[in-house]
Amino acid sequence: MHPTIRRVFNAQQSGLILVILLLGAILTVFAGSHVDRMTGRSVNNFLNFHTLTQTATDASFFAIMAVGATMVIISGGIDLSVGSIYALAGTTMAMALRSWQFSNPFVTVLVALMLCLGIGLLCGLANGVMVVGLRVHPFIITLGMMWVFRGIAFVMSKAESILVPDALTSVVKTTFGSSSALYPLPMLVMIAVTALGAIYLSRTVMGRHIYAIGGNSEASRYSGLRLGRILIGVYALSGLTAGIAAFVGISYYGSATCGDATGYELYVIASAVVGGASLSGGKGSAINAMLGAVLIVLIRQAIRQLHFDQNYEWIIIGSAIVIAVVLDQLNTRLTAKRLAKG
Amino acid sequence: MNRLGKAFIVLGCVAVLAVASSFAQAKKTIKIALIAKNSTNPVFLAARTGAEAAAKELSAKHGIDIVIDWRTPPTEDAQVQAQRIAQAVNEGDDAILVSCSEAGKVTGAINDAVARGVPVMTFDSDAPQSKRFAFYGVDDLRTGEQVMSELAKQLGGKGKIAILAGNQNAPNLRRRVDGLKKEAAKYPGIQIVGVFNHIETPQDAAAEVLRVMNAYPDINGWGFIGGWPLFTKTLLTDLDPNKVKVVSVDALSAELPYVEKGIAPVLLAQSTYLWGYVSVEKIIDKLVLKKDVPEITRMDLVRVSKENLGTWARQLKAWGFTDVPEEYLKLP
Amino acid sequence: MADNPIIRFQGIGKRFPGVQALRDVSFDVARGSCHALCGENGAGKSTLGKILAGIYTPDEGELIVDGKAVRFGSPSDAMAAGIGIVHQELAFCENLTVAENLCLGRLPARATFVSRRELLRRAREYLAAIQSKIDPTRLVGALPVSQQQLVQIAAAVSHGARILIFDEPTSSLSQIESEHLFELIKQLQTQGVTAIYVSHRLEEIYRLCDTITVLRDGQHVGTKPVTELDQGGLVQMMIGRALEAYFPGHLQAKPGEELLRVENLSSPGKFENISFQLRAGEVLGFAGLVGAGRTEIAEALFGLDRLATGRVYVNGKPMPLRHPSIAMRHHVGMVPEDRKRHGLVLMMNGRENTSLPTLERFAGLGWVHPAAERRVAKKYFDLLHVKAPSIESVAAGMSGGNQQKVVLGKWLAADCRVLIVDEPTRGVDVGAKAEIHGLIDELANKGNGVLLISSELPEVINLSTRILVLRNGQITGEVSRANASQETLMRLMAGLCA
Repeated sequence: MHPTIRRVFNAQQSGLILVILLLGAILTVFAGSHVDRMTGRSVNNFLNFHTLTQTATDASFFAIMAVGATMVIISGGIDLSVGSIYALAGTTMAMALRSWQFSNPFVTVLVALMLCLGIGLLCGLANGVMVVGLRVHPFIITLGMMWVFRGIAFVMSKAESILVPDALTSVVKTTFGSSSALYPLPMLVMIAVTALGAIYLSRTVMGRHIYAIGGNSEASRYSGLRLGRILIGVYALSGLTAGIAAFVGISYYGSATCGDATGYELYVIASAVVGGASLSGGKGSAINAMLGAVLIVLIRQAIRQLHFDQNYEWIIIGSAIVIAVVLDQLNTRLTAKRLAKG
Repeated sequence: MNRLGKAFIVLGCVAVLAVASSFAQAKKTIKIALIAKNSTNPVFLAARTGAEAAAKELSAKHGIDIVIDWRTPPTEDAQVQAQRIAQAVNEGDDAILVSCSEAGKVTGAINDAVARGVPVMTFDSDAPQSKRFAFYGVDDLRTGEQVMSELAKQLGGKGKIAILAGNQNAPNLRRRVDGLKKEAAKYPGIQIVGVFNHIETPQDAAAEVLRVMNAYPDINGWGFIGGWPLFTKTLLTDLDPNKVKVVSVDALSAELPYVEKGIAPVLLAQSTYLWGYVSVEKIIDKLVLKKDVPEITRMDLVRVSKENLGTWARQLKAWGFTDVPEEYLKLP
Repeated sequence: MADNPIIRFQGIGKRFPGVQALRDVSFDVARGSCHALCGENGAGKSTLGKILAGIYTPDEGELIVDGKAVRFGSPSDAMAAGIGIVHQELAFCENLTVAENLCLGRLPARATFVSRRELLRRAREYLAAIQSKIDPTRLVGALPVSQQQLVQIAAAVSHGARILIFDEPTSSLSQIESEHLFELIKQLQTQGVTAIYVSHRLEEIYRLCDTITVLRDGQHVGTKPVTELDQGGLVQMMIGRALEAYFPGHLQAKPGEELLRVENLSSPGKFENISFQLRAGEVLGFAGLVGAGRTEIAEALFGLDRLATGRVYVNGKPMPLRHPSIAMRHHVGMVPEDRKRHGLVLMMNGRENTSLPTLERFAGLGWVHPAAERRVAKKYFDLLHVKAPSIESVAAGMSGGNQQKVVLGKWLAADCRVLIVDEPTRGVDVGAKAEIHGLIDELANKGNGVLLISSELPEVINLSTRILVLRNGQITGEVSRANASQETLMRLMAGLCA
C-alpha cells in the first residue's frame, strides 16, 4: 500500500469515522421510512436532514465540553466538574438577563455570551489553581467542585427554572434564512470549537506543552516548562468549553435550572476516552473526542431507531465504551510490537 | 480501531433480525410517542399500561392500528426529553404525549414539533406556554389544598407539620406546595416547620423524612405532595401512627399498608393509569375523529382510606398493577 | 580455591541493554567469612550481589550454593535457599507496620482473620534475634533508614538466611548507626552467617572483612585475603586499566572569562558550602562516589532544588535558583542523569523531544512553525548521528545511545553558555560514547563552559580541564588535569589521605 494511504488508514480518526459511517449505514438500511406530513414524500427515518442535524445537535453539547476535557486528560488530569460549570454558567446568565431586561437583542446575546464564557473560565481557573496550589489529585478537586458549583447555582436560583430571553433562542436556533425547521448552529459551534481545539493542541507551544506534561511531567520540568501555569491553563480551557456549551445549550432549550447537565461529565469523559485519550496522559485529540461524542449519541440514536428495548441503553453504551477502549489499546500494543520488530 | 468496525457489523446483523419482524405490518398506523419523566417510576409505567390499553381498544373500534412509541428517558432530564420530542418528529410519529420534567426546556421542542405538523399533548406536568393542544392532569393547586385540608382534619386543626416536596425543578410540584401553604393559612393552629426537597427516589425520600423527624421531633403531621417515601417499607416501622399522621398524594400498591396501619389514614390517589388511557383517547379524538378537545381536562383525585381500601386495590389490579397484595384484594 | 565453599560463582555473565555488566566472573566465598565485593562505580559489584539474591538472573554461568547448582527466578527463591539481601531500595510496604512486614507472606491467621497477638509475638521474637528494640507496631515508612535496614536484616534472619548480602549498607547511615551495623554483622557471623559486603568504602572493608574480591568493568580482577592486600594495592586493582590517550582540543585554548560562579551553595542533607567557578572554554569535572552529592548540586544549579541556598552568578549576573526556566533564561542547561525519567517524553517523537525546551523559539505568538522546528531537529539528528528512521520516530523505540543523543541534542539546540552534563555516556555503546566525548570537547572549544559529572574516572580525567572531587556533600579536593590520575582521584573520593 502507498505509505500516505496507509497512514490515513492507520490514523485513529479513520477508525472512528469508519465505525460512525458503518453505524449510519446500518441505521439508514434498517430504520425504515415514513411519509413526510408537509411534502407527502417518503423519507428515510435516519438519512434525512432533520435527523442528522438533530443527532449532531444532541452530540454538540457533549462534544464541545469533550474538547476541553480531552486537554485535561492529555495533561494527565481529569475534570469532573464540567456538567456543574454548565449549570452554574447557565443559571447565572439566565438570572442576570432576567433582572437586566435588555431591550436590544444584540446586547442581550453579547452579554449572555460574555457571562457564560466568563463564568466557565473563572470556574476552570478555580479548579486549576486548586489542583496546582493544593497539590491534591484533580479527581478529588473537581469532584468537590462538581458539587460546589452546582450548589452555588442551586442557592442562587432557588432551584427555579429560569426562562432566557427569546433573543437568545432565536439566535441559536437560527435557520439561516431557510424555511425548514433545521437549526445547524450548535453543530457549527461544535465543529468550530473542535477545529480550534485541534489547532491549539497540534500547532501551538501551549498545546505541545500539554502533551509533554501528560507524557512525562518530570522530563517537562527538567526542560524548563512551567507546569503550574500550563495546568491552570488547561483547566481554565476545560471550564471555558463548558461555558460555551452552556451558552449554546441553555439558549437552544430556552431555560436554565441548577439541575442542568447532571451527569454529563461522565458522557464527556467517555467521549474523550472513546476518542482514544489515555487517562494516564500524553495521548488524545480534539477531533477524536468530538467523534467520540458523535459515536455515543449515535449509539443512543440507534437503540431507538432499531427498536431495541431502550432499557438496554446503559448496558449498550457502557459496553461500547469499554470495547472501544480495549480495541484502541490492543491496536496501540500491536503497533508498538510492529515497531519493535522494525 | 478497525476491529471496532467488525464488532459493529456483528451488532448490525443482530439488528437485522430484530427489525425484520417490525416490517410485516401495513395497515394505517398511528404512532403516538409517549415521553414520561423517567422510566423507573411505577406511576409512569401505569400510564404506559393505560395508554397501551386505550390504543388496543381504540384500534379495534376504529379499524386502525394505534401504536404507543415509548420514548421515556431512563433518568429525568428535560434536555433529553426535548431531544426525544425532536426525534419522534424526525421518525414520523403522528402525535406526542409528554409529561414535562421542566416546562421551559421542552417548550421550544413542543413548538417545533407543532410547527412541523405533529400535535403534542401534555399530561401530569404541563408546559402552559407551549403550543400543545391539550393537557390532562390534576389541578395542582387544588391537590395541595386537598392534602392540607385532609391533614388538618386528621390533626384536629392544630399541630406542627412538614411538607415533603420532591425535586425543586418540577413546576407542578411547586404549585402543589403553594396550594398546601395557601390552605394551611386557614388554620391558625397549624404551623409549617419547613418544605423539604429531595431526590425523587423512594430511598432518598424516606431518608429525608427520617432526617427531618430527627431534626424536628415535635412534628405531628406530614403532607407528602408525592408518594415517594411510602414506596419503601422502612417508614412502616420508623413512624409511630399515634404521634404522626401523613397525608400523601398517590396510592400505589406499596403505599396501601400505610393506610391499613394508620400512618397515612388518607391517600389522595391520582389515577395514573388514566394519564395514558384518557390522553390517548383525547389524541385519537383530535387526530382521527376530528373532534374538538378541551385545552385542559382535570383529573379528579380519589380519596383512599381504610373504608375503600379493598375497592381501590381491585381497581389497581384491574389497571395492570401486578404487585397488589392479596390481602387487600379480599377486603370488602 | 577454598575447600567446600558456601558459594561458587562460575563464569557468571549479565548483559543489560547497551552494556555488558558482568563477564565471566568466577570465584568462591568461604563458609562463615565476611567477603567484600569492591570496585569502582559501575564495576558490576551490585549486579553480582543482586544475582546472588535472585533479583537478577544471570545470562551465562552457574551459581553453586552448598555444592548444588541453583537458579533463582525471584528473591523468594533465593530466600528459600537461605540467602537474604539488605539494600537501599528496600522492598517494604511502607504503609504497614514493622510486624506486618516481618510476617508478610506468612501472616498468622485464624479462619482468615489475622491474629494480632500472635503477629506481634513473632515480630518481637524476630527482632530480639538481632538485639533490636524497634517497636513492631510502628509503620515502616515512619522509621529512619537505619532502622528500616534492621527490619530488613531481621526479616532475612527470621527466614533462616545463612548468607546475607549487604549492598552499600552504610551509604545513608550516620557514623554511630554504621558502628551498630558493624557490630551486628560481627555478631551474626558468630552465629554462622556468611556475609557478602558490597561497598566502595575502603575503611569499612578493612574493619569488617576477611576476604576481598575486586571487580572492574564487569570482570573479576582477583580475590585475596585482607592480610595480603594493602589499601594502595586495592586501589590499584580497582583502577587497573591504563588511561587511553585522548587530548581534547579545548585544552589548548586558554580559559576565557568567568561564566559561572557558585558561592556557598548548600542544601540540607545533600551538600554544603559548595563554591567553585567555571570559565569559558573549560570542562569542569565532578568526581565522586555514588551519593557524594554531584547530581544534587547539578539539580540545585538548574533550579530543581527548592531548598538550596547560596549565591550563583552567571556571566556576572546573579541567578535565582527557583525554576529550570530561570536557569535557561541565564543560558544554563542540563542533560540529566536519568534520561528515561528526566530527559525524554518517551511517547513523543525525536522532533518533539528536541524542541521541547526551546519551542518558543520556533514559534511566533505561540504558533509553532513546523518547518523551523523540523529544520533544527534534523540538524541535531544529523550532527549527533542519531540512528533512527526519521526525526518523527518515537523516543520509546530508540536504543539507549540514541535516546541519550536526543537528550544531548535538545540541550545543544538550546544554545547554552553553561551546560551541565550528568553521566552523559551511561549505558551508551562505545562508538556513541566517542562521539559524545567529541561533542563535549567541541562545546568547550567554542567558548562555552561544561560541567561534567561522570562516574567513569577515565572519562572525567580525559575530558576535564580541572576536576573537583566530592565526598559526602563537600568538595574534598581540586585536581588539575596534569595532576589527575585515577589513583589520586580514587583516594580523594574514598576519603583516604592522598
